[in-house]
Amino acid sequence: MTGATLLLRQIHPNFVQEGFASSAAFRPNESDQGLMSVYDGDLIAAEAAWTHYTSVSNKKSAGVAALTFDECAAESLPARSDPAPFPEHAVIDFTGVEEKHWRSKSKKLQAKALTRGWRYQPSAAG
Amino acid sequence: MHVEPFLKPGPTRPRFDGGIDPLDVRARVEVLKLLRNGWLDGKGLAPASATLDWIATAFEENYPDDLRRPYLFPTPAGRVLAEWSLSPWSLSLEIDPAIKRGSWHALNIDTDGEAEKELDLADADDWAWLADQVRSLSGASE
Repeated sequence: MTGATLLLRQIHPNFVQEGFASSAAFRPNESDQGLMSVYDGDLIAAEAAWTHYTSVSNKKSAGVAALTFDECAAESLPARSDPAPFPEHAVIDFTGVEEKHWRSKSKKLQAKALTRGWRYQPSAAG
Repeated sequence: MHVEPFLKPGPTRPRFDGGIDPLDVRARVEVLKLLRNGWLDGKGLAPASATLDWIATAFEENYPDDLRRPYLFPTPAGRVLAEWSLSPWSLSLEIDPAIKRGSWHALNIDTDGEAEKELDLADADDWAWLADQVRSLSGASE
């Protein structure tokens, strides 16, 4: 994983309206213990990550957004490989940031992802 | 790989022009009413339909027609998150419809400047304050 590594985030369909992804999609959920799951873009392409997430993990995704390792680090959100669930799994670690600041951090990540654009959307394939 | 940009929010059309506003609050509320508990891959509480109707009515009665409408999303806790992307501002109002209160947050993405305020959404004055914020920060983005 390098500073330019893309960290691929699956965006739940209920967090997308008119192609706009909610900031809520860029923060851990309560059960995540402060660790936001992503795919390591050095190890898997966005489309393959979406296929794995929806077919193997059997979860819903409207598409794949991305942040770089450096972008997360700039927000004091270090990323690291976490291959226990599967080899390409990684996490963005929010535990070093007080939870009251997660809202701002998620908005910063959202803005970076919005600027970058979807890395994969099933409806755009073909 | 086929990559599509995120859609950027377009200008909100007032309802009197006959067009369909893609961010129409009532229409979005109808979509949110279809959610059931577990909507987030087995987790996530669904907001109650009656409280969602209250959100739609509250926007219709208190939010100016000419102002850009927010995106509306469910939260895992059963609330509703309204978001406005008005670069460089990221604005949000987390609405707890059960108690008719909202948590306002404005973040300047460029400077990290932020502001927050708790709103009583049963109070027309707080809706006026909200509209003033969106209007003034919309101006900053244009």
